[in-house]
Amino acid sequence: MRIYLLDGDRESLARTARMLGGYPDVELIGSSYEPEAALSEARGLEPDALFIETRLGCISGLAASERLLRELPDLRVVYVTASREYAVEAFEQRAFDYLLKPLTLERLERTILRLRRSCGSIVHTRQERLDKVE
Amino acid sequence: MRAMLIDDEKPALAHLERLIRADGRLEPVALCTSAREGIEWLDKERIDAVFLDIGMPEMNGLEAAEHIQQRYPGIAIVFVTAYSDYAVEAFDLQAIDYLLKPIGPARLQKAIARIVPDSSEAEAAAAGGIDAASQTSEMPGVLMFRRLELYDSAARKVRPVKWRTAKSQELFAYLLHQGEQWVPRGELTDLLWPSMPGDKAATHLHTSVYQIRKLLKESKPEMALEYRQESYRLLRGGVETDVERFEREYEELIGSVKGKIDPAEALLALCQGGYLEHHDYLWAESRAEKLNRQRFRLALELAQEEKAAGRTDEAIRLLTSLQEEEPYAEEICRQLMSAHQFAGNKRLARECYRAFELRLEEELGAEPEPLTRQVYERLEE
Repeated sequence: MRIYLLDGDRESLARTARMLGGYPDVELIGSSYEPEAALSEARGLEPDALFIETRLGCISGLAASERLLRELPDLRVVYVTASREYAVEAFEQRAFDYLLKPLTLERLERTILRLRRSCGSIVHTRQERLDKVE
Repeated sequence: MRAMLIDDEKPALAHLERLIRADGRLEPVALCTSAREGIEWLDKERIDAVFLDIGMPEMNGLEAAEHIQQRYPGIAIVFVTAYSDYAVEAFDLQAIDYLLKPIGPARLQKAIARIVPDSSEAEAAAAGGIDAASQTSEMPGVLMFRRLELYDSAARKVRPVKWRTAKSQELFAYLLHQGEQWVPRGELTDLLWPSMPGDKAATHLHTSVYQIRKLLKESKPEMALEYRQESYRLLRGGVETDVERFEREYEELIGSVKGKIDPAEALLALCQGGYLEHHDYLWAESRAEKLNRQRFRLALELAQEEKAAGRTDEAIRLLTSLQEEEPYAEEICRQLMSAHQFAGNKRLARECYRAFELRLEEELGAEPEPLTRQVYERLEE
């Protein structure tokens, strides 16, 4: 599955990227610590999932992903954040998951498992439809 | 779809029930004032979604959710609480939604839309050419796992049926059990009224047939109960039972679950209990046993494939629940050890064997099979 990563803190960006790198089926298609650049890049790349911090300085992570969701409604948004305070809003927004920093391998593993299932099933349905068309 | 509401405050329960009924997509079938009570219900009733308060005495909502998640992973959990502090934990527990009290109808509707698959998705699937009957998200029209029920696919909920007599219900179940075969009248009267004189039994049968026809006309007009040459049969008009769906898809899946994990999971979710187990019909027993064996085999294969696909958590969860049903099954113990080992947890693998060994010793005075022991010994290397 194709993941885009946005985190204003470079150290934490590198850390999450490293952890995601441990999964053979995860393709980190892009990452950025600069929100505006990240949004326009992600828009073009159409990732399966966006891993994003809730605090991005000038713009909140929720507002940023909300903008992206308007154009990519199927995007799965996973918050990776040091702050608990946006979790209720994340539910409102129907975020895919909400992970607290410091991110642990164990918790990330559960998100990846669910992502696999969620992304895998889409591929499967498309394949089924293709089969039917043939 | 059926919902359970759990809240220790009765007014809150009543308020939520009113809102859910007003929305109409879910049917609140159980209102519980403690988590314990709710969990007991789940063992008996088919439930699709649980609305769960968090702050409750004894067992709180988070603990209850964890329990429900493990035991019934298919049930959607929605937290309903006055506190915003537990939303992160709710994500950890894979809750579908988190509603803050006081709840308004608009926000609740949003939550229900996440539980009830919406019509646009169903239309998209139909446009994709997927056969409606083979599409597992669509519920079958008649449910026979656990208890006999009619499912109204337009309203997406079980349609409650008032049976005038238990015999009418059994007659209906028996005719369903026979597929669309003709069943001689004498067989039916012998089965249902064995100790009654012939003419009296015939009258009872007649009344029951009349009741079933009336019910079909109201609830399932595509089905018909026919009579010809002293025999009855129940024509389906395309309505399938969940058991027939299971049998059909089981044949396609068994031995080839690899790559079809999602359909296999969906099919297992259909088996919410034994075949007609609620009714204790003697004639249903052998089929119930057969279905149970098939379900068991499919679940074992699914666990194996989950493990092979790297989804060890899922495999372990599935195997653990199978082991609760079949605590002495060697195959489960072996697979569970192997799944723990796969997950990199040899300690749990060893514990699993020791617990199994102890259980056999204490409860059966037996020892694990050599093959099981070998798997364990290989762990030690």
